[in-house]
Amino acid sequence: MSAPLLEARGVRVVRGGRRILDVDHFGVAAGETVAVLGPNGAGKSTLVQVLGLLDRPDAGEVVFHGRAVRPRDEADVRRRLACVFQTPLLLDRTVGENVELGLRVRGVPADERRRRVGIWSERLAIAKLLAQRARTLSGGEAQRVNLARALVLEPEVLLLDEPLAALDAPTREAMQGELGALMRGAAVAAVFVTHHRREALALGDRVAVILGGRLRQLGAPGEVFSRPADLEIARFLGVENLLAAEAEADSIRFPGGVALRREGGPDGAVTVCLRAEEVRLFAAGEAKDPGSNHLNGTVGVLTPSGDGYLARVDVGGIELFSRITRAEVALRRLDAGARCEASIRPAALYAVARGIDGA
Amino acid sequence: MPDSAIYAEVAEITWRTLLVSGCALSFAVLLGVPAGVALAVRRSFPGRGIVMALVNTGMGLPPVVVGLLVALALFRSGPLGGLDWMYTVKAMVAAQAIIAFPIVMGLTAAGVQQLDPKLSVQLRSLGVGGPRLGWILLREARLSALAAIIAGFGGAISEVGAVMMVGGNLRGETRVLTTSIVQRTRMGDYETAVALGLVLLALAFAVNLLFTRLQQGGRR
Repeated sequence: MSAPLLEARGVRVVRGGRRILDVDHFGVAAGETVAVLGPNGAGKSTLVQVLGLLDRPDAGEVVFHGRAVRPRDEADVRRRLACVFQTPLLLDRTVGENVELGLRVRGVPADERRRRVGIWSERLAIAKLLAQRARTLSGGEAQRVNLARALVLEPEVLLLDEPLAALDAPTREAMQGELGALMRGAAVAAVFVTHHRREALALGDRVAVILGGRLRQLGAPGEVFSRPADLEIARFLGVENLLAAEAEADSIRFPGGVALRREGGPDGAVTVCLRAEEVRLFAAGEAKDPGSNHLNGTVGVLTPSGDGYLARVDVGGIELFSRITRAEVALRRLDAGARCEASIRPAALYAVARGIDGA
Repeated sequence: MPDSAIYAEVAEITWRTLLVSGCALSFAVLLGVPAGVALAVRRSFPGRGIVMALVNTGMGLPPVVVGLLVALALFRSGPLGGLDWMYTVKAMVAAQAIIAFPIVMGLTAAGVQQLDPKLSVQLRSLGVGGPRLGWILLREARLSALAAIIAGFGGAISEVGAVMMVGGNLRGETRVLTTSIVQRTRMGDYETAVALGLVLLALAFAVNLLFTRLQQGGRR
């Protein structure tokens, strides 16, 4: 990662006697998008408010271009950032007036305002709405205007606080793709707050997991999702298979005697974190990959999930979840009760050490 | 008194009523609206609760008490006696402005406070600050602000106790519709009192119609 453009260092925020944010270090570099993922009330929005210089922390500092932002510099630095919040909160004026509001405040000349509003309203497909009153817009249109209002400022850092959360599912999915393209196109440093794992995975160059006000893990999306730092993160990230086991060297032994090969990790009492998509199901005797672990079992309940199913499989006394497509179910005759073979790559068997309390 | 003289006097009293209440309202709006916005925007400062309580008390201030206080201040022996405003239109304007000010301020503050608190955060994130932030929030709460002005005008034009005390109901100088109605009623001239009452109602209706059109026009 190149040098961070905007950082929070040792930031603590206490409200009503409760510590709601406690982050030693968080930073975003030019051109990258950091997706901040966490449940409701985890402190994600507070982090955005602190980074956006809209809320002063009780301790710590915000650093911009390597220099701590002093109170007297806040207004100037704030004008080089832009925030997009969950609720568009547009003014009761025309769409055009809303989009150019920040430019007016910055004293940008009328010609330049028109040029930038023209460019961004085209990119966000709201050019035809510019003369319309903002309160007549649909939720999706209003959020586009909200985005245009921020992007038209051509900020160095874009702070997005769950900008898609209030939208219906189809609009959210459509805008997710567009937003990713826009952020990449604008080459802006962006912090994207969400509690949707899919959005974080799709939009983040790095993913930060915040739980209970603390930054618990920060890394590449694949790394964070397949190798959660601890059990609590694994649970939050929705890892379907969390299995108690004993590990030693390259082997993991589950209660009941089933042993699987793995590629390193902690020894002793562990919890295996295994994504359901890593458990591949075949008809009995069909699995071909010699490098993988193979377990014979029986298909249990098939629960529709996304485009396919989440299948519960009983393999030698272990209950595993596997994600399979409708085509695989039909092709391999993996209906409930069918005999099957589960194939698991050793590298997918990621384990975290279990504490004394089992967590 | 010939009819033409009566009409002329009614016209003069009506004009003075409008002038006094209009001037009082102008002062109340000029001071009360910014103060109301400031009170709404600054959500935490020492003594805010006391200021809110004072404003709310002021909204229900008895006009006769205002009249008494203004009179005490403007009497020759009072702290503002040197102004020589007692029994003048200026004193009446001051009394009505004091009555209308907390109404305008309190209702403006309530209207701005009703806006989503996140709007203020959103605007600050766009670089809006200081008086401009207040102005934009006021524009968003313009329906409430106009309701505050309408209420302030109603409080000013309808009161009688204060203007009677500080104006003295002097014919041709400080007589307004409300004081004139009281006087006519005391004289047993109910016919004129009712007629003046109707004029006052018509005046209040006309002004409020204007404000209401402005207010509802803002919704479109």
